[in-house]
Amino acid sequence: MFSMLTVAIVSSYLASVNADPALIGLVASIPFVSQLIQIPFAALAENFSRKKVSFVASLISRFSLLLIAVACLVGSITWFVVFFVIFNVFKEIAAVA
Amino acid sequence: MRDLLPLSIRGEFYAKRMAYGKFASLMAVLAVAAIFHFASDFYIPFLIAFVAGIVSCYFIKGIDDVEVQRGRRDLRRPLRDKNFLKLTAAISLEVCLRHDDAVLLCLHYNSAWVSSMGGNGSGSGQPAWRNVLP
Repeated sequence: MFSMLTVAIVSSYLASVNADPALIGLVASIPFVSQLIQIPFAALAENFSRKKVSFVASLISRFSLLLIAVACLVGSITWFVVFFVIFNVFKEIAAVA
Repeated sequence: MRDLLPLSIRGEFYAKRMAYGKFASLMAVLAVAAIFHFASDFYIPFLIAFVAGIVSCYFIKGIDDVEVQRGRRDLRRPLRDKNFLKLTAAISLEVCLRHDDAVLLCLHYNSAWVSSMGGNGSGSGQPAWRNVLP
C-alpha cells in the first residue's frame, strides 16, 4: 500500500497540478535517496529499544500520509513535498530498526 | 524481525510473507485503482494508506521487543556469504526490472561507457576518450 504511493500516484498528482518536470523527477527519487538514512540510524537504533524506534518512526511516517492527503486537498505542492520527504525518511528509519 | 524468528523457520516465514504480501498488495492496488477510477481525488489513496498504516502500527505495538546486540561487528562478514550475495543480486535485478527507468539509466551509462572505451566506430582502435586527450 505504501510502496504503490511512491512513484506512480505521486508523479501523476504533481503532473496534474502542473508541477515543474524537474520537481517531479526530484520527488520520484526521494524514496530511493531516503534509504541512505538507514546507514546512521542502524547504529543509532542499537542504543535504544528497537521496537520503540520502529513504532515511533512508523507513527510519524503514517501520520505524514494523513498530512499529505490534507496537502492534496489544499493544493499545496510545497507541503506535499515536505510531508512526502518526512514519510519516506521515517519509513526507512522504521524499517532499519 | 530476523531476531524474533528461530533459524529453523526463518526462510519459510519470509517466503510465505513475501508471497502473501505480493498477493495482498495486488488486490490492494486493484481496489484502490477502482476507487480512484470513480472518485479521482488524489487524497483518497493517501487516506487509505494512512488507515492501513495505523492498522500496521497496532500490530507493531504487539510485537515483543528484542535484546539489542551491541559491540563492533565485521561488516565484511556478510559479503563472504554466498547466499547473501545471491539474494542481494536477485533483489537488485528485481528492483532494476521493476523500475524500467533505472534500466534505461543503466543502458545509457553502459552505452556511454562502451563509446568512451572505443566502441563508437571511430576505427582508430584507440579508446574514444584518448581522442579528446592532448
